[in-house]
Amino acid sequence: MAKILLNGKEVEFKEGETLLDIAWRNGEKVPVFCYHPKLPVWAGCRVCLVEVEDRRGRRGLKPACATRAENGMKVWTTTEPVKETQRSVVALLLTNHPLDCPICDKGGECDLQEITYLFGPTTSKYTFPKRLFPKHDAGPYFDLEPHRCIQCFKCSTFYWTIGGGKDWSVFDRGWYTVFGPEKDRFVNNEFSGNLIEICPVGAINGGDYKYYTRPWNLELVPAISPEDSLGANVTVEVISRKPYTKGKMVKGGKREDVHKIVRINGRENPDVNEFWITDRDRFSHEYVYNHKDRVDYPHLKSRDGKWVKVNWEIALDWVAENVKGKRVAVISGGRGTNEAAYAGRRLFKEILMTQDVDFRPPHAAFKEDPIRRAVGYSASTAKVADIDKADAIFIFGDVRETVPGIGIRLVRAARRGARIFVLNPYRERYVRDGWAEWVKVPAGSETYVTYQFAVEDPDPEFADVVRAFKDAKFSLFIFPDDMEAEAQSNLAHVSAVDDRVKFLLLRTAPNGQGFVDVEFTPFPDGSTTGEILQKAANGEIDVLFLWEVEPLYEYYDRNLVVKALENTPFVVVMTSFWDPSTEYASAVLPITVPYEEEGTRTNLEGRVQYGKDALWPYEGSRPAWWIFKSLINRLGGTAPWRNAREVFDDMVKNVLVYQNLDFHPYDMPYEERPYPDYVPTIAKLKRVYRYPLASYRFAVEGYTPVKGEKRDGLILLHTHDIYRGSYYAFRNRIHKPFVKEKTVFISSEYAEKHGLKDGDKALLKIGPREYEVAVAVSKDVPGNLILFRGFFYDLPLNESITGKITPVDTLNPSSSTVQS
Amino acid sequence: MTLRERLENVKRIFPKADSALIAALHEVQDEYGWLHPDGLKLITEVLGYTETHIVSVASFYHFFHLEPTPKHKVGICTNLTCMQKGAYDLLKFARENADPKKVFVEEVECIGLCDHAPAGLLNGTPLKDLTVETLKDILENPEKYDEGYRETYEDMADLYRDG
Repeated sequence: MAKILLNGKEVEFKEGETLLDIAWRNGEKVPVFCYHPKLPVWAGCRVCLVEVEDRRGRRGLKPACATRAENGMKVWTTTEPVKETQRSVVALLLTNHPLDCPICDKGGECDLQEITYLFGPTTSKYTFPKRLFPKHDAGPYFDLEPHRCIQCFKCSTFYWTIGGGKDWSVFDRGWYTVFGPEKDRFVNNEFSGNLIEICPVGAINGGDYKYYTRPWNLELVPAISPEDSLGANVTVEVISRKPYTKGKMVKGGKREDVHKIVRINGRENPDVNEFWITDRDRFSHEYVYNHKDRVDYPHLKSRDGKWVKVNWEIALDWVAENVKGKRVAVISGGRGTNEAAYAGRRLFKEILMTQDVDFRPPHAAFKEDPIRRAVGYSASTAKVADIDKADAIFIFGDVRETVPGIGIRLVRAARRGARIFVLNPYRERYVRDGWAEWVKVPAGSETYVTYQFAVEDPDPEFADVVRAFKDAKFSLFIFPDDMEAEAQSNLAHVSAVDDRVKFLLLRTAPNGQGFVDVEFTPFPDGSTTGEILQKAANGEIDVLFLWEVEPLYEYYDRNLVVKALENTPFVVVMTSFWDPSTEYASAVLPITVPYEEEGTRTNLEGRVQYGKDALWPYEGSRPAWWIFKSLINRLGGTAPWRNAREVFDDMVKNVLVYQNLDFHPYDMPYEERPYPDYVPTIAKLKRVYRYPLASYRFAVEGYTPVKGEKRDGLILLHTHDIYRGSYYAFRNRIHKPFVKEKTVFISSEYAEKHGLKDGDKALLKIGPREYEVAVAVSKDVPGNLILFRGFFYDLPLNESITGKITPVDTLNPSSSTVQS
Repeated sequence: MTLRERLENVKRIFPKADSALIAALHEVQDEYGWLHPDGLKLITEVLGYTETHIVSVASFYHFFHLEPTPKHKVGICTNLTCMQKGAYDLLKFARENADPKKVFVEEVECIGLCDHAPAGLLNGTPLKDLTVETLKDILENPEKYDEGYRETYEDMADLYRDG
């Protein structure tokens, strides 16, 4: 075992460790500014210099973060030259750093503050006038204060190597070095919010946290992001988790702070999100405490159509009375916790004896589970961390808009030299930024393309990508679960027959995997979402439950939804918000939003993760599992659960795939990282949570790939949008500048042919119907494609359109006769 | 050659985009006199860098101009020998008398012409033994003195061939 002499003490180390790792592990205080465990070593700040003597007796100061330990080295971290260096480095940094700590948002968790206090000089002889920069508006997420910058280059290093963005850089030189996006441009990268967290000073501040409070006032609550199925680990920071004790507010509590999330930061989980979270996870919290949209108490509709606010007893009795012995169906959004999904499954499938239970939107609600059909169980075979091992990665669809969080690993894979192919009808972000190669797949031809991976002699058009697939030692398919069913089955089949191939199924519902696991699905013989709506529209359903879903926003066929809601005599809407579908409801039951309830969520790779409740439920809202439990008890079943943990324990006994869990997520296992306590921003991330995976078994059945057909002709593709496609994110005003208006994206050749210009109004003609839309000419869209993003309420698709893709007749310049 | 062809040429000589960027910036500055956004856009197309990155690199270097600047640039050396021979007086004179639309006056560090001090540069052409009279003439008719000396990247190509 190799050894070094650290401050006169013999310590062992592993090959490849730096002096900083060894020093920190042994409790020595070495300050750092530009070092971050997940970033490339920059060694620019020089504050971590330590005195080193190698085996030949050469002695000098070396940066601890960039120096590898060698056997027989002698290292001192507290000698006078080291201290002198630390003092002078800090003194020089402070010559240009304004002393505005009292008004700086970083105060209290600022590395410079802490290191100056512990290692810096007491006085300074440098009294120059300090530099100033003009104010730069970098978008709603940021408040940039470049004059506080200490030029550690952490932000640009992060932005280029982890975030994979290209619009943030460092300009000019010397004293006038300034970071940021180019003048008058907004930062536009889905990981940009992490800059706030890694900045060691208050140069990059959060737009949501600005001038609100101090870090020592905050309570840090570990939670799981509900925005997408990656299940990023986040820390929800609130003034107080339990502001009341025995009906009284805690001392010093302010009325407006009682129900308020101040900010959300990342939490370390090396297997899922490392440190980093997306802007959608970070800045989407206003919907929790923006009370004007929230439902406060249960509401029942009286005979004259007016809402009556009632207590839970009355509401639940009324609902129980109305569902007894009726034909019941339920549609969910796949957003609740596993506990709620399990309780719901018990209520609907075992007490109310209905199989009409689904959580998928109609365009993705397949009669037969496409993955189960090919590999026996509906779950990913790969882990998210497998992206780091793959030689070739094949991405179907637009990852940035569905599960953006896996992007950090895609960028890393591209930098490592792995080949990444994006098989998509249009050029998406990773192609545009040069991280991936684009394979143009005509919209609607996914089945045809996936079939090429399964056969010996592929279509010459896709020969290159198939060859790359065959040459790779370990390749990975990444595809969304709302792709064509046969295409999903094909890919799953290909990965099942070949050990070198795995796939990652991106669930579009945030807890889709959990809902599948607890069998909140219509299989084997229930009705899918589309069928439920059809049945309801025909008057074949008496009671329809809508649980955390807004079909009028999310489903294409708005007319059918309206018809279904109108023709169902008793609609129960379980929601947190006064959404349009509550108009058709007989009863509205307020449920908590994700950060108000504790529970587990299963992410897209099958990882069961626990999130704590950061706030008390708003007014009278209750967790969904509690509502299901109360209904079970009222309808003659027995549900003895008192809290979410008891539901979980019951669930583990009854859900097949969770029976092998060798851990209890509520007892969050974690490891301590050897970070020193005195460096606040890193100390905050000290606990590393490692949730093991639930174990699944896979069996390959006799499934043969489907060939499918290649489509061409003009096609309207209705696709996801990162902010508008999320049930929670679009309710936050902070994302507004990034939410595009009712816009279609077309190619320049198409625009030229039809005399359209960027920003024009145009008429979109689909069959007999016409819609007025704005036109954006984009070079990322091929000639035969018209692209439309986001929730569907913007495009008034009032008649039935089957599937996701619709042939378009024409897109013409708007005539003055049509007004929308 | 058009600017695009020259940029393509630079790209051919320096296969790595990192090495080609500075040379490409020189070509753009030769064409417009400063780093005109049109030129930068051409670089983005040819080399594949974003404009942010290009501006970030260009802003590091003193002799790249991101603000509109005339094509002719007179640099006067103010290092030791030239300074002793009155370079600061010449610089002051040049700054006061130059037509800002015609000539841009800048201070340069030692250009290795100490034996002809005070010396200077006009777009890369050396100016030797400057006096107030010659400088005045240079400022008025810079075209006359510009011998069109440019660095050629072909010479350096072998150095950079392997990246």
